Amino acid sequence: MKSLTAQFWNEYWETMPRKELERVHLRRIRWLIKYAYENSKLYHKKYHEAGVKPDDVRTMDDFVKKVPFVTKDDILAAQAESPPFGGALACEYDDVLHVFQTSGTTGAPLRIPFTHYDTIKYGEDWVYGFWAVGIRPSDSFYFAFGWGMYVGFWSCYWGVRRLGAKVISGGGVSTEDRIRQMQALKPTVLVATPTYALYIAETCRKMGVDPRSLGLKYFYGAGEPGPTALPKLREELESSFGVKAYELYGVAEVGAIAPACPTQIGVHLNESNYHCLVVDPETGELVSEGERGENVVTSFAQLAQPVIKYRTKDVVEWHYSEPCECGRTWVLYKGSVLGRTDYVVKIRGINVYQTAVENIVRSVPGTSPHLEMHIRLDERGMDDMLVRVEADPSVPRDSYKDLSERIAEELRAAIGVRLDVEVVPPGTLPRYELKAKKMFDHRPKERRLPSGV
Amino acid sequence: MSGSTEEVVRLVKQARELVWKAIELADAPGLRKALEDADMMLHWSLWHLAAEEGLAPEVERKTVRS
Ligand SMILES: [Zn+2]
Repeated sequence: MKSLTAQFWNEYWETMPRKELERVHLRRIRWLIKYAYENSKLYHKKYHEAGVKPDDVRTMDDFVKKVPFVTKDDILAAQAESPPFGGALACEYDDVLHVFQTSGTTGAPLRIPFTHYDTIKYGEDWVYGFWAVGIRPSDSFYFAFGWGMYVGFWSCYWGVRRLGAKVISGGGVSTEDRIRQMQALKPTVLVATPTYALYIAETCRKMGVDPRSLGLKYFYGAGEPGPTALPKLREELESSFGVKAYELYGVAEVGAIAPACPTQIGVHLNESNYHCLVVDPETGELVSEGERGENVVTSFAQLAQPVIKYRTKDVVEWHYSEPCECGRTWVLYKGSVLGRTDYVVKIRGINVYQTAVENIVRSVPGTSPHLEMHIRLDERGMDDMLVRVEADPSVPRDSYKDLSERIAEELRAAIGVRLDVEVVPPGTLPRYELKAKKMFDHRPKERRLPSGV
Repeated sequence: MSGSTEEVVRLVKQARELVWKAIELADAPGLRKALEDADMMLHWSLWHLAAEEGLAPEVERKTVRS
């Protein structure tokens, strides 16, 4: 069958010349703005306050300059006015097919409603990445996931259904039972957060099972910086399981926006469903191609709760003029997500990104994948960071001090600043089934970057 | 857009018109839902070719009916 040998899931879209992409984007943006203005109180109010009417947006330049940003706080406030969705909702309540929410660990949970069609589009985002890396309908997916209110892997499930591959649900059982299920059913793709996948490997070894014997071919993760953002993590996942490891960059309330690039150098914005601008987080001005900034995304795929020029707070480096080595013309986020604007620490004028710190720490022999970064103020009231990392079990305790000094020295050499490093024994830091909490901000609220600025 | 793609677009648009007619005649909820889903997937196939005529089939149907 010819279609199974195709290089792309949808060559027409994935290789569309930039000019044509811009033409289609503008058409969809204009539809979307009109739809949101007419159907969502949040957008109606926001555009009214900004003095923008849908017909005022005629060019991409109008969109960039006239249309205001939308933040998570805007959506939260609209939802709080009239729960559950308030003025953020743009469709009939009865047309909401699925409801999710964020964990709410840093505040009130953000509710995320979808129509049936939204879920089709959201799910298909994943398929572009599956196809590009060689996953086909003959593959079978194991979901090491508890099927809760987190949309990430639900959307992956919708995607696997679009691809037409097998779904093996690993919900609601222990890690040991999940390993036994994989031994029995021999899936070829493991879907999990990267740190939970490493925990599966760790548990396998405790059970006397070689993770490679599970017979997996691919790891495909999301939810936290993964094998594209963190090369050492990729190495560990690939060597532990004998797989190729990929990630998708998603934003729960926006979409599974950027599927994997097969070259593993980054991820690509799915420009069939999304448009992005990358801006300076402080000024809101566009940054040039190749520079880092905050990702601002517009989704054509969400009509229940539209997101238009949405401040994701994700720091990315964008490339779009030249096609990628993989053949796609879609925006490439090199290294995937590099950090969160809330957690970028400026130490002596140097922006310190969390993925950069993690990459350097993990490159030092004797460290484990389990680490935490604590942002705090030093005695002069300046931003500072403490890195706590678990030692590998092979490192004797009396070497922890040497190891922490080696890590601090590597950090100083690579990013030019000295951070405090504490090495702790294996098993000290908590393990997570979903997203691992690695960043802890101990600065007073007024010292953190205001949300959505 | 190539000639064969244009032909696919023409056929899908024709198919949607037929499905809309069938939706108007369908009484059973199960049948109606199946046809609405068919329309959604036809819209999705136009989206795949950047040849859609609106953001979503639900919205279009409401516009058609109002
Ligand atoms: Zn690529």
